[in-house]
Amino acid sequence: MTNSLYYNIVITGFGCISAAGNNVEQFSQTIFSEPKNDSNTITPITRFDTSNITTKIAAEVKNYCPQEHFNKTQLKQLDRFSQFALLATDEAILSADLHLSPTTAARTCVIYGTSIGGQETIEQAYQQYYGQNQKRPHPFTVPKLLPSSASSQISMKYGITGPSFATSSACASSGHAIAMAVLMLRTGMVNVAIVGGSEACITAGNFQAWEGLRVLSNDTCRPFSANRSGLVIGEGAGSLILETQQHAQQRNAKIYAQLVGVGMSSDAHNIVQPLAQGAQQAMQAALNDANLSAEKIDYINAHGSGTLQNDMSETQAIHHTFKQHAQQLVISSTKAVHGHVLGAGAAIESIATILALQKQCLPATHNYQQVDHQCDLNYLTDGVVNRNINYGMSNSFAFGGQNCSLIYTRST
Amino acid sequence: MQDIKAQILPILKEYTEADLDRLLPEDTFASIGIDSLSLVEIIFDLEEHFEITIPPEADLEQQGFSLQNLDDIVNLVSSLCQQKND
Repeated sequence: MTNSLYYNIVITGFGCISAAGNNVEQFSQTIFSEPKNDSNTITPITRFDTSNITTKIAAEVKNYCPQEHFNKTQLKQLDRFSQFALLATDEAILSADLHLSPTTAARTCVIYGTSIGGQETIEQAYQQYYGQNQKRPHPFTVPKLLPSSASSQISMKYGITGPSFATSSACASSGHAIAMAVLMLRTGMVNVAIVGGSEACITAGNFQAWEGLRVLSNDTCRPFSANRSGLVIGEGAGSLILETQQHAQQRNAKIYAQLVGVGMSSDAHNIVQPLAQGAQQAMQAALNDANLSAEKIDYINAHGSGTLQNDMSETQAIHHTFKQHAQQLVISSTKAVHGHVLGAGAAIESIATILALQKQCLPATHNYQQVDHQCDLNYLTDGVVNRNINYGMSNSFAFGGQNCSLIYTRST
Repeated sequence: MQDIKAQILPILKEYTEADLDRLLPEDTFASIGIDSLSLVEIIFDLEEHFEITIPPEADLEQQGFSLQNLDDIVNLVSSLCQQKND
């Protein structure tokens, strides 16, 4: 089945905050910088005392003071991940020049992904309760930590009365948020979708647990490099405004890109080990959904987490999906710059892919040092390149084998 | 009762910009910008400060208490402190 039976979906706005910058302009400058220049995004952790932990680096949001954006009353109700979600959404709505009348608001949905939700709230509240003999946690602990609090806060701020909910599928959470929105837009359930993902889990307890999984790098993120040493956790949020093409055209909105293909799959294999077949199935499903042959894809913003397993497995999956075209593809992982923003990753990397389509320029994979013969594709490690590209794919492959691939095309 | 009120006022001041010293008896929390969510926090703060447990609203109603304004809170907290000390 092709999507010609449905409404076409366009992207009319986007916003983001991450270690790579606190808005899209800064993000764009950082991800399109040359690899030889240290982007200084992966840095020593400042969010907690790292003296008792081996992993001492993360991709933290820089130059961020919550009090500059929210008042005291708001901050009592906003975990850091909800703060990021609101800021990214503010920028997205502004860039879309979207004004929501009550009628439009009722035909708008908010679907927002997160892997964990209010991790800082969880750790602070229960550390005080269990560790410091506080009689009980503050009652706002509950609404702050809910994974759905970001989508609720967005809907409340903008008076959006259509469906609002969270998606949680680990590192594919915002990919699934985007996918859900596409299905709702295509079938005419809503006209506008505010989608994205947010994560803010650079916390002591969380890092101790992640470290136990032996997937965190204490060096830096080196996707596809033979000496890659693991992923680097980041924080931030990415928001996109999706609309039916018809709705966007009726309001004369600027169209940045089209979302033409969505593919989802499950490995049904292992809670942490990826399976190439699952990734392949998601990419193929996205191609089928877009009614595109594999040769049409010019660029892949890879999941490229920098773990031994993912980068090898993703490479195999790309080979199997694209066959002889695999060597013609340009692939890069921007995680080497903005870190692995977990549930926000797909949204932030979708923005990177859309920027690449807009600029006709591809971001490089930073920090690459050594050829790995099991990772034998063109990962664009030497530098940014200008290239005529029409279709870009963004991959997100999560723990538990939850896979999502999205295909964007340039605005015509 | 006056001592209790003097301890309650700084807690309430965290949640409203109204001049609490000039409140009229008919001024409700809603009229001075204290919404239901803020009231949840105020109840929590009062329980912590006075080391009391404020019963659920349904029980309060049965006991003839209300949580509509400053006087309601002062009466309730005074009563609960009295019970604690008996």
